[in-house]
Amino acid sequence: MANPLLQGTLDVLILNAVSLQPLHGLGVSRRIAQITHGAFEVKPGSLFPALHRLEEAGYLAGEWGESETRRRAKYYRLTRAGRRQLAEEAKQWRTVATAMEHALGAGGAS
Amino acid sequence: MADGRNRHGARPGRGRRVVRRMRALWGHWRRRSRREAELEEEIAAAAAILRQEQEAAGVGAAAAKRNAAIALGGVEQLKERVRQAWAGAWLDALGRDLAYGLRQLRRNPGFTAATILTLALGIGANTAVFSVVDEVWLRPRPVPRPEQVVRVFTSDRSSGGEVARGQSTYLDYETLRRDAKSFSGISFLQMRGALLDSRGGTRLMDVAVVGDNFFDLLAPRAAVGHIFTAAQARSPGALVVMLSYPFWNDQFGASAALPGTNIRLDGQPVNVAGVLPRGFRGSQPLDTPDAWIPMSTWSKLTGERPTAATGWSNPSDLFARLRPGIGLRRANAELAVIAARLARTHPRTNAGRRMTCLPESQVRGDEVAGWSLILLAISALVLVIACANVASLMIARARRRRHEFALRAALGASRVRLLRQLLTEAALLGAAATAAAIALGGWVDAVLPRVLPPIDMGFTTPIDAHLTPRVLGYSLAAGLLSVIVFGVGPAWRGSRLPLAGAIQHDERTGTFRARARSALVAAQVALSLVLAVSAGLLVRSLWNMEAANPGFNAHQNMLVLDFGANFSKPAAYRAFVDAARRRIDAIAGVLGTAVAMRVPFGLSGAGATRNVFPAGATGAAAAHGIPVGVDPVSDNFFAMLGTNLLRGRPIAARDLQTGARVMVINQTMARRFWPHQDAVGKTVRVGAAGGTIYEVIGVAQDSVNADFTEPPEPYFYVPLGLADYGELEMVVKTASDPSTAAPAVRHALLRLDPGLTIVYFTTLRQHVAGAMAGERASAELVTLLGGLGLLLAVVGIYGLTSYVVGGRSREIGVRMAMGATRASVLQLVMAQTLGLTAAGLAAGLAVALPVTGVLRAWLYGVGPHAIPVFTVTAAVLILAACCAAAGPWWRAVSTNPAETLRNE
Repeated sequence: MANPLLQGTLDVLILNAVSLQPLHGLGVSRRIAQITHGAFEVKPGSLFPALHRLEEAGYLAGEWGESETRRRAKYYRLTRAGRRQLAEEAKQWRTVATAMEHALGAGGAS
Repeated sequence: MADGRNRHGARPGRGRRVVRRMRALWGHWRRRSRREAELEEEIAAAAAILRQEQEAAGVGAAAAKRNAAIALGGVEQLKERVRQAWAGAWLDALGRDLAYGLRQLRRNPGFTAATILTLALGIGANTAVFSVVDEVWLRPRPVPRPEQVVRVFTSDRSSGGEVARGQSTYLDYETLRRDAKSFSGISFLQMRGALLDSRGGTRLMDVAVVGDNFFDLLAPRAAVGHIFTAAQARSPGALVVMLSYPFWNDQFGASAALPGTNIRLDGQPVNVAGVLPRGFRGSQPLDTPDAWIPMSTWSKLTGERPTAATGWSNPSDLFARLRPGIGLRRANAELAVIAARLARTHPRTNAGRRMTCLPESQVRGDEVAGWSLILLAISALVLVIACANVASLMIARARRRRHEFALRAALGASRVRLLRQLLTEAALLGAAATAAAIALGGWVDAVLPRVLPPIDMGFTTPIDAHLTPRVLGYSLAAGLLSVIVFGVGPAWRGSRLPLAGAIQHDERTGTFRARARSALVAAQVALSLVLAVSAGLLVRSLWNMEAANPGFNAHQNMLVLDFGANFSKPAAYRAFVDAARRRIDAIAGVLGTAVAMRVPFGLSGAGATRNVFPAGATGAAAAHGIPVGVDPVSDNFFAMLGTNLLRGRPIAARDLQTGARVMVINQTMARRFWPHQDAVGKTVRVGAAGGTIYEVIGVAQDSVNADFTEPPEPYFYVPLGLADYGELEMVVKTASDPSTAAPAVRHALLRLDPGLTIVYFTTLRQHVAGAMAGERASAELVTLLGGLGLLLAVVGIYGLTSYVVGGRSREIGVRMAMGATRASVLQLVMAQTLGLTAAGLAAGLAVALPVTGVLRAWLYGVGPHAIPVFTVTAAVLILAACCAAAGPWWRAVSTNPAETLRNE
C-alpha cells in the first residue's frame, strides 16, 4: 500500500477507522482490515508514516494512554478538522465510485 | 491541535498559515529529541502487542519474538519514513547530514587537510587577485555621486598621431572654469614631488598638486581629521596638506594624533588637515599620491605662481562634476564649441585641439580592464586545477567508502539521500576552505602590494587592497562554485554504486580503470600548460627587455636627478645649473655631468614636442608642421648617456654658448624626413611655417623614449636655450658605485641653493628598472600563479599514478616474480603516465594558442608562435609527470612480489 495512487485511499481509511473511537497504531490497522472485510491489510511500514503525516496535517491528535497490554501506547483520535476532511473525502469517493460503477456497467465489464 | 479555522469558520489567509507552519517547525525543532523517544516507544509498544498476541496464540517465546519482528518490518526503515512525514524533516535530515559529514571528515584527517589546503590555495589566489582588481578598477571613488565625476581631456598631436586623452593647459582650465555650463565645478591635478623631513631622514613624496577647490568639488569624507576647503587653502599664511590613507599608515603608523599637527615639507611646516579615505586615488589607476597640496600652499612652498601669462609649468589632469540632469553628450557638445573657440582665439597653442570629457570610471576601466581580466582568468585557472585535484581525491575516497554506502542503501537510504550526504560533505569542505582562503587572502594582500607595479616616478606606491564586502562576496562565490565543480560529479558517481557488486570485491581484472580520474589529470595538465606558457611568455618578454639595447648605456654607473628651483629669471637658473655642474664635476669619483630637459624613461611622460616644417612638405604638414618629440640637452649629453652618433657630431658647449640653431636627429627622423639621403647639413624650420631655421649636425641612434613596446618615433635634440631652463634632469657619471657619490652630489646642490627642490634622485639602474617594473611585476605574479598551478597538477599526477600503480600491484608482482626487470616495469608505468600527459598537453596546446594571441599586446620581442616557450614548458610538465610516477613505481618494484600476491 505504498503506491501513491492509493495513499489517498489509506488516509481516508485511517480517518474512518478512528472516527468512532481513538485507536493506537496496530488497532487502526486491525480496524481497517475488519471494516473492509479483509480487503485492505495495512502493514506497519505504511501505517505509521501515514498516521504521523495525518497528525502533522492536524486531522489526527495523538494522546498517550494505556493499551490492552497495560503498556503505554499512542492513541490517535479524530479532530474537528479531521472529521470535516473525512466527510469531504467520503463524498468524493462516493461520487467516483458511482461514476465508475456506471462506466464499467455500461461498458459491459460487469 | 489547532483547527486551522477561526471562530467564524473561515480559512485563515496565506500569511497566517505560513506563520502557523513556522511556529509548528520551531515547536518541532525544540521537541525533536522527545519526538524521537516517543516514536521509539510507540514502535516498541506495537512490537510488544504483536508479541503478546503471538504468545497468546500459543507460539513459543522466541518464535513469538521473531514473528512479531517480521510483522513489524524493518524498524530503521520505518523510523526513517516516519521522520520524513514530520514537519521540518528536511531540517532534521540536514542536521544529521552535517553531523555525519563532520564525523567522517574528522576520521580522515589526511584527506580533509589535503582537500582544504588545496582548495584554500585556489580560492585564496582568487581572493587576493580580485581584491587588487576591485581596488584598482571596480570600486568607485569614495565620494558622493561618483557617477557625476568626469575627466576632461584636451587632445594633443604627437608625431605618432593624435593623442585623444591628453593633459590640459592653464588656459584650457581657466576657459572651462569660466565658460563651461555643463559642469557644476572643475578642478585640476598635477603630479609633483616634495621632500618630507621626518625622524628617519628625508623622504621623497609623490605629491598631487591640486586646485584649491579640488576637495570641495569631489567632497570625499576624511578618514581622520577633515578635508580642507578652498577658503581654508586660500587663507593667508595657511599651509595645508591632505595625506593618503596608505601613506599615513606606512609613514606615520596610522597615528590618530597626526591630523592637526604639522609636518615639514621642503623645509617648511605644513599643517596636516586630515587623511583621505581608502581608495581615493589620483588620476592614474595604479598610483596613489602620498599627499595632496592645494596650489595656494604649493605656491608658498615653491614660489611657483601660475598666471595667465606664464601658465602651468606642467600640464594637468582635469576633474569635473556634471551638473545634475546634464548628460555626457550635452557636455561634450559644449566642450566642442569651447575648444573650437579657443582654437580661433589662441591658434598658437590650441589650433586643431579638441576637448572631451569621459566618466572617470570609464577612463580607469580602459586602462586596467585588460590586465585585470587576464589576471582574474589566470587565477580562475588555478582554482579549476585545484578543484580537479579535489574531485580526484573525492572519487578515490568514494570508492573506499563503497561498503559504507552499500550498507546504508540496504538499510533503506535512497539514492537522493546518499547524494545529499555527499554534497553536504563537499559543502563542509568548501566552507572550511573558503574561510581558510579569506584568512590566507588577507595575508597575501600584505605581501602582494610589494610585488605589484610601482608607478613611473619610481616610487613604490602600495596598492591598498583589502577585504571589502564585494571581495568577500567574490570569495564566497568562488567557494560555492568550486563545491559545485568538485563535489557534484563525485557525489553523483558515489551514490550510484550498485548494491550487490559493491559489497563483493570487484577487482576481477586486477586493474583500476580510473577513467574519470585520468580525465581529471589530463585536464590539470592542459590547464597547467596554459598557465606555464603564460608565465613563460611574460618572463621571456621581460628578459628581452632587459637585454635589449635601449639606445644608451643603461648599465653604467650613473645618477639621475630631477630638480626644480625658485629662480625668477631663467638666466639665474642657468647660472645655477652651470655652477652646480662645475661643483659636481669637482667631486672625487665623478667623471662628468650632463643636463637635459628629459632623459630616456623620463619622468614627465612623453616629453615635449615642436612642430617641424620640412622643405617640400605639402598640405597640413606645410601649414601646421609635423609635431616631433624634442629634447633640449646640454653638451656632453650623448657622451654621458652613451648614445652613439652615427653621422656628424654631437651638441657641443660652444653651441650652447652661441645659441646656435643646430639639431641632432635620431635615425627614425632621418629615415622619415630625408630617406636615402645624408641628413647632415639639411635644414628645417621649427615652430612655425616662417619660423627659425635649424641645421642638422648629427644623426644619433634611436633610443627608447618612454616604453620598450612603443614603435620607434622621430626625435631630435637641440642645445638648451635660455627659455628651456625650468625643471631639468641631470645625469652624473661616476667611476664606481653611484650611491657612494650620491650624498656628496646632493650636498653640493643644496649648498649652492638651499631652496632647491630635488624631485627625484636615484641611480640609472634603478631608474631603468623602475621603468620596467610593471612588466617585472606581471611576470612575477603570473609565474607565482603558474608555479602554484603546476604544483597542483603534479600533485594530481602523483596521486593518480599512485592509485593506478597500486591497483596494478598484483600484476606487477606477478611480472616481477616471473623475472621482469625494474626497467620493464618502469616502462609499463611510464607508458601510462606519459600517455596521459601527452593527451593533456595536446588539449592544453589547443587552449594555449589563442591565449598567446591575447597576451601578445603585453609582450616584447617574443616571436609569433613562441615555440621555444611552448617547448620548454611542455618539457617541464613531462619531467614533472615522470618524477610524479617515480615514487609509486619505486614502491611497486620494491615490495616483495610474494608479499604483494599474498595481500591480494
